Amino acid sequence: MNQDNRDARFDAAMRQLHGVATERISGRTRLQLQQPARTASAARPAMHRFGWPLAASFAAVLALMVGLQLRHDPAPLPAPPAAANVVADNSDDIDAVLDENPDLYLWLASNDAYALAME
Amino acid sequence: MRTFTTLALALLLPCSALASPPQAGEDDARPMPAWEQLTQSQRDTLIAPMRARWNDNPEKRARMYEHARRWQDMTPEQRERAHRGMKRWRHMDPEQREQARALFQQMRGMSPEQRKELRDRWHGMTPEQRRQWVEQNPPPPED
Repeated sequence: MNQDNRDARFDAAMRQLHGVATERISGRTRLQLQQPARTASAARPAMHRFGWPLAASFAAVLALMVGLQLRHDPAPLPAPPAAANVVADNSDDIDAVLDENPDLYLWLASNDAYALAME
Repeated sequence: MRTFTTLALALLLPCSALASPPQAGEDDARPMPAWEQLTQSQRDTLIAPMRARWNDNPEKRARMYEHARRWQDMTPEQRERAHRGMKRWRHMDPEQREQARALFQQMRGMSPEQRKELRDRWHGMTPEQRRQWVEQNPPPPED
């Protein structure tokens, strides 16, 4: 029962997070990404023709958003990077999520930690 | 897979917060589907950076998994707060991060009174005294 509740809570949280994360993706990219789903029953050659370009464009949008967040740079946006650069561009975020104890981040957002004014 | 999903979304949440608002004319576009409706290719694209990280660091896998599970166990509110803490972390230099790790480790086992006492002491310390305090109270080594 407890496990069911946790699963349900987790699913709800994931859906909410996913919604927040995707709502700002440009309409054009959304349409491009939906193309494979709409043409799922189409012939395989069509999937082969569009699959990689669509995946690459989605990766480029993600990289662009991560870049915006990390740099806080109001300068003109650079040209979308190649999909191969995505890992390098958001590696700081991945390090932050995987390397440090999430409870440390929770604590850093607490009144106790802000009162210490370490910066 | 659920762990990877959690991490993918943990990474995507802050991305969305600062992304540009939709342009005029884009509002009528259909929203992206839920994770379950994404194609395998789209899912692979989202988790590729984490897959690479996992495969490239076998010695860190246990710690990464433990942290991923903790993210998964958090409530949405806790996850939101942890993201705020992560944002603060990004703006700290290496010395400040070491201090934060040491203070976190010490304070997590303290009573409110003891935490207040340490906070007051910390405020009265010079930068050199803080460095010494961290040397005497080092954060646990990462496994």
